Amino acid sequence: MNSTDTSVDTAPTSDRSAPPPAELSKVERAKAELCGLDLAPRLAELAAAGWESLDEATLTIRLKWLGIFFRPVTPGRFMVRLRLPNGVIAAEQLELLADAVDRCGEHGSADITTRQNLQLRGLLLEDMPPLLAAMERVGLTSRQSGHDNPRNITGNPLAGLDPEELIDTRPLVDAIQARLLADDGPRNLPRKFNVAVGGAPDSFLLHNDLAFLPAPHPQDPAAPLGFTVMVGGFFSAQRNELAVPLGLWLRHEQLPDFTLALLRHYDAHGNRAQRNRSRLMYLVDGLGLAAYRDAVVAAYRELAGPSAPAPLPHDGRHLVVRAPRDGLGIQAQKQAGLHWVGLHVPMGRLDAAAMLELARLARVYGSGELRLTEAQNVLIVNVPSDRLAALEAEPLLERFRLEPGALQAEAVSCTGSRYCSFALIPTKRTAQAVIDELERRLELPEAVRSHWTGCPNACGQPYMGQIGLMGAKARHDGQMVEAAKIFLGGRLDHDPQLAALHEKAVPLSELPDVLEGLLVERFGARRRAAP
Amino acid sequence: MTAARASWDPRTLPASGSPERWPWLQGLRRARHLDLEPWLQAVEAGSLQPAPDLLAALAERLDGPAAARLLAWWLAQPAADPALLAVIGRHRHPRCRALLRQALAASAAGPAAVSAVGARAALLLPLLGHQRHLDDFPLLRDQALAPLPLQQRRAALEGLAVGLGAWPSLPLRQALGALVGDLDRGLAATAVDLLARLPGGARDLAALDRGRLAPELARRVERRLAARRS
Repeated sequence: MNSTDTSVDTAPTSDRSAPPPAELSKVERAKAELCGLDLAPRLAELAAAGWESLDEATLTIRLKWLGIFFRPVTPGRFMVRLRLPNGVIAAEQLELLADAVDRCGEHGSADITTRQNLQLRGLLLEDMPPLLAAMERVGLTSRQSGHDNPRNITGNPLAGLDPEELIDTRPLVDAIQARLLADDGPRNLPRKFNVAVGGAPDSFLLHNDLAFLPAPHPQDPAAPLGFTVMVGGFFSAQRNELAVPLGLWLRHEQLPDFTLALLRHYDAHGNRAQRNRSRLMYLVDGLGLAAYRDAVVAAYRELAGPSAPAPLPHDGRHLVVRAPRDGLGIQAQKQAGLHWVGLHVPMGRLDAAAMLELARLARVYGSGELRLTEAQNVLIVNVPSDRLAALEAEPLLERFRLEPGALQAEAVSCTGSRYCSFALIPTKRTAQAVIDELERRLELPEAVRSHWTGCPNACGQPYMGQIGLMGAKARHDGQMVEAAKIFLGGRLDHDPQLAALHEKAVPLSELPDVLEGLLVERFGARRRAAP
Repeated sequence: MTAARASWDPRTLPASGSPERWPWLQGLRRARHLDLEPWLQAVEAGSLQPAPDLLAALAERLDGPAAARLLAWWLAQPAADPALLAVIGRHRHPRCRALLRQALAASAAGPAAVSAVGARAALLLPLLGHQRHLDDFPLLRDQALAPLPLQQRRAALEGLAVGLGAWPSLPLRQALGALVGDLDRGLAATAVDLLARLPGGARDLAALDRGRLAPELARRVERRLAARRS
């Protein structure tokens, strides 16, 4: 592409303290020249002119501020990533997205992501203006869902339904998103930023840059629950960290301003010189935890005003004590006579027909609402007892099962090489095939959580798996072949820990045998009798 | 790593499968200054095999002329990895387009029954459409309509899809209208979807005698028309 053919006017958007232009990386230069959000009013014009009218930075970087992703592996076919706060989506909204996928034919699909979100594939650039306008009409947005932005905010997928619920996360997640996407919200962070709010004893969220976990008031046990603040969790090719206690306790109503204040501090002080050392934990390390906490509290006080209550000191103890439930099957809600119905979506991949059918089932049997989980599954909620039998008989439930196998239920996968140029293996297809084979061979006493990722960037969160698998290459019989590294020991309970490397680069052809042995030795699997 | 390394020499690239390769490639990707020329020369000389992970690391550096050189290399390899083609072929450049046209002309002149030739054409046709050059419309249209192997016709239609806004409206609508009646359901369905995106396309869809279409296709037409109305 000719970099001089830009039709997008670029002028500096910010004079914030940053390295001089000559020292800025290509990404930082592109962001400083023009914020992608400023493309929104011109999107129809840009789409009509075609991708060839866009300069490289606009095509590959700035469009992501609108949630539009150029995909190098599928030239001409773009992706849209939405924002679905707390993973909540209405049938009407899902139908709209299904239509967008449907019109892409064999190129169209949607993935449920590990952030309770959806991303649609196979779209043409010409599809974007009408799609984004239609999304807005039904209350959906894709704004700032990619690149150096605060990503989709996650919460308890069972919020408002959960008999074990500590705090309903939905209004809090909505309020934080509204605060961050307001006109004075962050538009140019040093790097992506993940925020999550916990609301149940199984809200494991320590992989987020900023996580709010339910915790009692530090001084008044009779006061309503609030949140302890955890910071710095992230996975990458260089470093993997669980979030650590910041030492602060917040009331519900403080979360939006606190999040914004913390992000403004990160915006001003995060590392913009080295993108591989720019996630929040590096800033915490650089300042020291106590100094970082003081700086964030000062930023919060400045934003919230002197009359706002200050964050309270806290020891970081919280009420999240268990690994996440899978939420699958028919489960009683806290509302008498109502149930959520958790459906397993293999590898989180949906086609248009399945999306339409899910929307129909939610309307016919539930309240028209669905929830997406971090394990890439879907819940139909508010189903009355007398509708359960009919729902169970629906054909879609033969494909999206209520009770999948012990390995299927909690298998999470990144996109893989079909759509990502970094992935070293076709992750979703490989994971599905290996799991199918292992479930043919083995019986397991309980579910085993496996996380599959195509490369060291770790988008599939392999360090969170009881078994983690990472795409690799290995030499086998004199040939270089696709392979996977095996990680073991990820724990998401009261004593969380990251999985550690167990075995280097097992050729995919040998993976079922190697995993079979591990499942028998370490997870109590029994080999099925030969048919 | 990026600051410390004075130059990125293709000869020092760790071998595929080496644990050092991934961080090395990430350093290469993030390098502030990189001279692409030694990499292109190494590929052209046959001393460097451009694996997908290497191309992913170099992708943001490729401009049209560089992509054209890699495309020329790819086309000269009888068994080049198809996975490389998308990254190489995504650039719009006259030289890339000329190479694609030449390669397609050569495959058209070859024996049509040779499946490898058709398979290669099927990889190239979408990339030609992605070039979005008006002069390529007749070739893509003709291949989509011609009695060629289905894989090739679908690839030509994908070329029309990814270049949609670049083609002349009326001939495009006529071609898509003809494909709606095709015996292949995939071609017909895609033609319906593309027609629905075009100015005036909804009128074409509404004018179809849906009673003569396969029920699944008729429902697709209904869905596209319903979406236009809502």
